[in-house]
Amino acid sequence: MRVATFVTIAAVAAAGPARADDGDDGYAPWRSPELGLGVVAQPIQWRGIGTQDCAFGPGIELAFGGARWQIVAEAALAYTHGETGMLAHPGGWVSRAGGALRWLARQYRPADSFAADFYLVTGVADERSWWADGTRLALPDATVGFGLTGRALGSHRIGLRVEVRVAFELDDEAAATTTCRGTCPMSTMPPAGPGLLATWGLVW
Amino acid sequence: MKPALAIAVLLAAAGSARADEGDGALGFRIAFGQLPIGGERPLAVSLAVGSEHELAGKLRGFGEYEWMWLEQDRLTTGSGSRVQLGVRHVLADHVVPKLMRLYVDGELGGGSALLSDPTGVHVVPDGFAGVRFGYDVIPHDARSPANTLQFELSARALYLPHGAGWMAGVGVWWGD
Repeated sequence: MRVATFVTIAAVAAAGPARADDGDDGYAPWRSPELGLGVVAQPIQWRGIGTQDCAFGPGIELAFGGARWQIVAEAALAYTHGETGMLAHPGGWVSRAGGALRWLARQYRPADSFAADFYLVTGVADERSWWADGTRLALPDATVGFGLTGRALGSHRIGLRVEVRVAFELDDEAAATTTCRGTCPMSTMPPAGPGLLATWGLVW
Repeated sequence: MKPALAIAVLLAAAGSARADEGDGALGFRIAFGQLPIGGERPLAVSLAVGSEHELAGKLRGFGEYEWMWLEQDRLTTGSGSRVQLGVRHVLADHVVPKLMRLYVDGELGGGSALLSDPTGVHVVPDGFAGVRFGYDVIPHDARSPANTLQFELSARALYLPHGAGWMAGVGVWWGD
């Protein structure tokens, strides 16, 4: 169901706005290529009975595209310690690598040198965990969300980006294992459900 | 599949709004609050995308798709989608020429959430009344694709089958 829901969302996100692009000028286009660096909050589910948390670390992305579309290659690495507040956890490293598609939904230009963009984004990635107790996990996910960019136009090429996405785990069994840290019966410990993926960073 | 259907409707509306050059808006809201669900009052945190259109004068209709997480005692107890439809009307506003418009809007509406938790999947209808405080920034560049950029704080009282709740949030809307 999660996969079907995500695929439908992504398909409609791609198809629905297309009509709005027909003959629609006036948008300051996204640059191509565009490099992004930032801090990424990656969703993890390791506090036991259905509780989520995030691991924080650096992220990098490289985007290519046309006027209102971007295809993005992205990667991030994060570390989290064992402090949970609820249940003990060894902590460790989390990485993710994947791709995304962005559509520039709206743009506001208060002056000819600046644009405030609102965009929709969807993507897929492979998230891997290396916990300090030796546990290794691979957890692919699909994400859908939105973001905003404030960026300078013209010769100044820098911008500021904030993006949030809901992350749907694509592998229910792996998600349950993650939730239970491989030690509890899956029948009594359901996955915590979709998590939050957030990015704050600079683009140019 | 209801979440996907909701997003389909929302994005179709967003696309047509731009194509028709109507008096609409598209944007997002990040909100939190407390909702009575299943005998508990969990903390709700949500991300919403919405679209709105002018209906008549200062009356506007809007639709929102929202993803919610529910937490109780620091445990995630559920998550899911909610779709809201409503109308908003200007209660008071003040225009600062060539700069901005300050406003207070009232809103009424309702919708339904599809939430899942360890006990199953629940359909949770609601009705709401709320108020929005915000301002529109008016661009100096006539080529701006969006005519306004709107920042607002919102507060809603919600009425659910198990009682009343509330949500408050911050939204940003790009106006056509």
